[in-house]
Amino acid sequence: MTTQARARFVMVLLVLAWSASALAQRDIAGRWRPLPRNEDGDGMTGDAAGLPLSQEGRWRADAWSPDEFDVAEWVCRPHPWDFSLEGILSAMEFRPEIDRATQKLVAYHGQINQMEQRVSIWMDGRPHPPAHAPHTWSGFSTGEWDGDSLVVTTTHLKESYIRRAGQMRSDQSIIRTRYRRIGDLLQTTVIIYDPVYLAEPYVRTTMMWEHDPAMPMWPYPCEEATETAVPRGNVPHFLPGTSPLPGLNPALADAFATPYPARLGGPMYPEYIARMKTMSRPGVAAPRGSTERESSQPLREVPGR
Amino acid sequence: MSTTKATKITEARPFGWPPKASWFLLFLFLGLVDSVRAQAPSARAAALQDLTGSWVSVVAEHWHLRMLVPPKGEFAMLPLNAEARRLANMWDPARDQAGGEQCRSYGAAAIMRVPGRLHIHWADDNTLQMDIDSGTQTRLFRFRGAPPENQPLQWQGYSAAAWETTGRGEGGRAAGHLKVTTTRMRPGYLRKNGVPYSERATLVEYFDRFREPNGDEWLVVDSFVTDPQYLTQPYITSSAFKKIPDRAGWDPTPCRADQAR
Repeated sequence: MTTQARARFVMVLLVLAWSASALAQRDIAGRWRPLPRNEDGDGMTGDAAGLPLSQEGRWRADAWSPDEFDVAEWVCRPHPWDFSLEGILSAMEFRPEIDRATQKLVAYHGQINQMEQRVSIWMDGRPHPPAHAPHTWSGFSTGEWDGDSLVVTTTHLKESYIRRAGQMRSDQSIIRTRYRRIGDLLQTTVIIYDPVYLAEPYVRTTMMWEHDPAMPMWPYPCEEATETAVPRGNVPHFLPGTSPLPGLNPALADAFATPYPARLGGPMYPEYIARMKTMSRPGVAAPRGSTERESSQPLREVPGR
Repeated sequence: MSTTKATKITEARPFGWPPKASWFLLFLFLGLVDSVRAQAPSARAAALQDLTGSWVSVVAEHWHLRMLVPPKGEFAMLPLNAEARRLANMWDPARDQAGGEQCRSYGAAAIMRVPGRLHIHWADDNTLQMDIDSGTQTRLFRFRGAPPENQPLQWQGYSAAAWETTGRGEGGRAAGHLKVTTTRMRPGYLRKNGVPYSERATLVEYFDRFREPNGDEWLVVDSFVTDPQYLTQPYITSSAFKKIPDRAGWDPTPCRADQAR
C-alpha cells in the first residue's frame, strides 16, 4: 500500500465518522408513495367530529347537498392540493426548478394524483400577490426552511373541501404546510387558518409518504358524465335543520354510538371525553352506506426500516 | 512475515492492509472520539429543540378511534396478522379490569394516541421526563446508558433517546429532532379495543416542535411500532399536541379498561 493509499484509507474513515450525523435529509424532490391512512371515514356522512367549525362553518355544512357533485359545473370539480394530501389518491411528485446561472432553488413544482392538481412552491423569496389577485384551487405558495422542515404558506385559495360532506374552508383561508423527511419517509403537517368557517386552526398530521423513484404517476382523466340529473339552474342545498345526512340525524348511531352534539364539530380536546359521558347515545343503527369507510386505503406492505 | 509474503497479501486485497502506523492513527482517532464524547455537553445542553412545558392533545383526526372506545373488531389502519385479530376479537375490558391489566392501553406504544395532557421536563441533565395525565403514566427518555440486563418489562418500557441532527437551520445551527427508541415494553394494546402488541415490539418515535406565526407552539410525534409477533408491517401514526401556558386542566386518571382515557 502506498503512502497515498494509506492516507486515503484513513481520510475515508475520518470523513465517514464525522459526516454520518451531519447528512442533511430535507430535500423533498422526487416521487412519493402514500402510506395507508384513514381519511376520517369513521363517522357517518355529515359528521364533523374533530373539526372546529365556526357558526358560519356549521351553517355552510348544514346547507350542503350531495347532489352538488352532479351539478354540471361541478362534476369534475378540482380538488385543491391541501385536500388531496389527505385523500386516497395522494401519490405525488416534487420537481425542483433550479436557476441555471446561480444554481439556486427557485421553486418546487408538485403534482398530486387526485384531479392532477399542481402546486408551485416559490423558494426565491418573492412576495405573495396583493389581496385582489385571483384565487385558484391550489392558491399561491411560498416556502422557507425551518430547521429540517420545508414550511409552505398558501394564500389566494378558492373555497373548497376540508371534508367532502359539506365541511368547507373559505377563500380567506391561509394554509401552512410543513414537509419533513424522516429518512425515506415524508411526513406532512397541515394547519388551516380560516377566519370564516373555522373557530380555531385545524391541524392534520397523519399524512405520510415513502420515497419511491420508480412509482408511476398515473393520469387522472375526469370525464364529465351525468350520473344524477340535476335540473339546469338548480342549486342543490338544504335549508337549516332539514339536512337528511345521517351524521346530522340525532337518532342514528354509527358503530361508535357517537353522541349527536359531537358530530356538529369542535370537540378536539381530552376534556370532552368526560362531557360525553353525560350525553345520551343514539340507539338506531345507521343503515349500511352511512359512513365513508369505503374510502380507506388497503394496507400495503412497507419495507422494513 | 517475510517481505515477499506481505507483498502477496497486499496484492490480494485492493486496498491492502494498512500498516501499523495507520492502525495506530485509527485507534488514536477512536480514542479521541470517545474522549470528545465523554466531555460532550449534557443532553439538556445539546438539545436541538426545547420540548419542555405542558402540552395538550389536539384530536382533529381519527376522532372516533381516539375519543371513544372503538367497538370490538374495529381494526381500521392496523396491519394485524391473524393471531392479533383472533386475540383482539376476544377482548373483554371487564376481565382486564378485574385482572389488574387495565393499563394495557396506556403503554408506550399507544399512550401518545390517548387524548390527554403532557408535562415534559428534565429529570436530570440526561433524562427527559414526560408525565401524562391519562392513566397517570410517566415516560423517561434516557440519553445515556443502556437498559440493565434485568430490566423488567414495564408499561412504558425502556426509552433510549438521542438528538438526531438532520440538517442546518437558521444561522447554520444544527437542526433536527428527538428520536426515542423504546423496548422492553410489557405487552399491551395498540388500540383501546384489545388490539395487542407483544413484549417483542419496538417503538421508534420522532418528536418535532415548531412555532407558528400566530404564536401557537406545536409538538408532532411520529410513532413507528414494529412487532414481529402481531404486526405484518410497521404501524405508523402521527399525533399533534399544542402547548398550553400551564397545567390548567391537568386531570390525572387511573388506568381504565373501558374508557377512552
